[in-house]
Amino acid sequence: MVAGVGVISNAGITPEAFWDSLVAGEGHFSTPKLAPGLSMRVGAVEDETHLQGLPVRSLAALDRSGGFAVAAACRALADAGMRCPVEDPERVAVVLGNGAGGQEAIEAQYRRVYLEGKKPHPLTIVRGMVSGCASQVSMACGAQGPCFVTSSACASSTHALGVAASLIRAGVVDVAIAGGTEAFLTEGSLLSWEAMKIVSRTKCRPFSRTRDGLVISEGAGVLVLESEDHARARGARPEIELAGFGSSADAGDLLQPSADGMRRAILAALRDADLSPGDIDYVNAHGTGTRSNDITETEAMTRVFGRDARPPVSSTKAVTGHALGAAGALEAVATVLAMRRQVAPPTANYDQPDPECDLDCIPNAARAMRIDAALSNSFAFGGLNATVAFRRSGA
Amino acid sequence: MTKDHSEQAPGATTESGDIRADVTRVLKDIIARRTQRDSAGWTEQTELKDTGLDSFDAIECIFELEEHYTVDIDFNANNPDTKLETIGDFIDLATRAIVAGPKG
Repeated sequence: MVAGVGVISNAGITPEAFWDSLVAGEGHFSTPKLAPGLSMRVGAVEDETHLQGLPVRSLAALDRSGGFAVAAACRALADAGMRCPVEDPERVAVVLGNGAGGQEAIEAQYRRVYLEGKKPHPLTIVRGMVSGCASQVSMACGAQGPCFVTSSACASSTHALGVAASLIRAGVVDVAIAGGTEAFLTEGSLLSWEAMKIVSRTKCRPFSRTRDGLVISEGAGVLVLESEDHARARGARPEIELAGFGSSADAGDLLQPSADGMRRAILAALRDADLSPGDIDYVNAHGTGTRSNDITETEAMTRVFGRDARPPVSSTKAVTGHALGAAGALEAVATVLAMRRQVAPPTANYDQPDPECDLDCIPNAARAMRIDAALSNSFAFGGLNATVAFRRSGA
Repeated sequence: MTKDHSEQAPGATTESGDIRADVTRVLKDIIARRTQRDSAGWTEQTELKDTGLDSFDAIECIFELEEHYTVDIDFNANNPDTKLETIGDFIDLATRAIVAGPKG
């Protein structure tokens, strides 16, 4: 069951603000602070108040991505009505997705070593390690069960959600703090994205014919998952269930996505959730706004659902940007909020239909609709695909 | 645990005595800032754990002292002969490095 959610995003640092941004179709984008020479726009978290009052001894030991993770986790526990530090700590897992580790710490070290001839900061290793965010959340929340990071580029946090739900289903833990975090808006990283020639110079326009690439962002999303028994025992009545998880590898091209690989991940999630394609009311797409992702994802939808039976699909990346290792978690939060409210968020910035992306992508305006079951897709570079399925209780 | 730092401590000459006083002031400031505690009652016998420092704080304090005095402080957490338990131990370590001269 999804007990609570927390977000730190350019679209808001509370679930309410985040949802309002999704519905309004407006995120916050700016020129990169750490790379002002670049013409691209990024979705940076500029509201630093999320760092206030965190249960960490020293902010100095936190990389930016760890700070996002701890802040989102604390918010998710509060949303779940759970205490922090957690009760029965050995039965609480932390599983977070992360792609790049503590990139700020790593680049700062390079600057010192290569440009200034100084020795690195002594905490560079622990700030930079990719699992650091999970350690920080376990310490902040007092969670003593299994704790690790899943890393699969832009699918990292969807894998994390799936694995965390599996730990609960297997009876290993009762509660999992799961999601993902990323802080990758450093100069070297952004220049590397620029070098791939897939970054938009304007804005992210998923499924639109005029789309010209992705917009990189940062942040964290965390879902507190719990077993049905645990929810019942504490008198909670969560209405949304993380019902299934599927993942696959294209085993093909590093950059060119595969509709068949996506199809296999989606079908695996449906099987795992004991849902059929016809049960799905809404899909939160990977929808990066690149030419190839959006066409390939459209094709995957067609293969899974049939051309005439594809459910409404929206990409919230137009608002959140692409938060890479945190993207799947932010979109899972968006999907849960959509199901709680029975409103599908729109694909913002949609300005021209693309015949090759002929989905009902809920263009520009949110839609009140019944959502009993929904999917959230993440398809990463390297051909790593992951999908989670959510279901409303009693539906 | 207490220990008398005055006999074997580096700082017998006036010059290094001045250094020792300076290191004491700088170190207490660094620790107080990191732990958000008042340094007023701290002596050379005060144990580092009683100042609120934890494992990574101690490493960062060494780093800050190295940056402040542009020296290399010879400390290896794996060397059982190196003691870093009290504020006095810390002052000894840093003063020895500063008396030895700047790095490079």
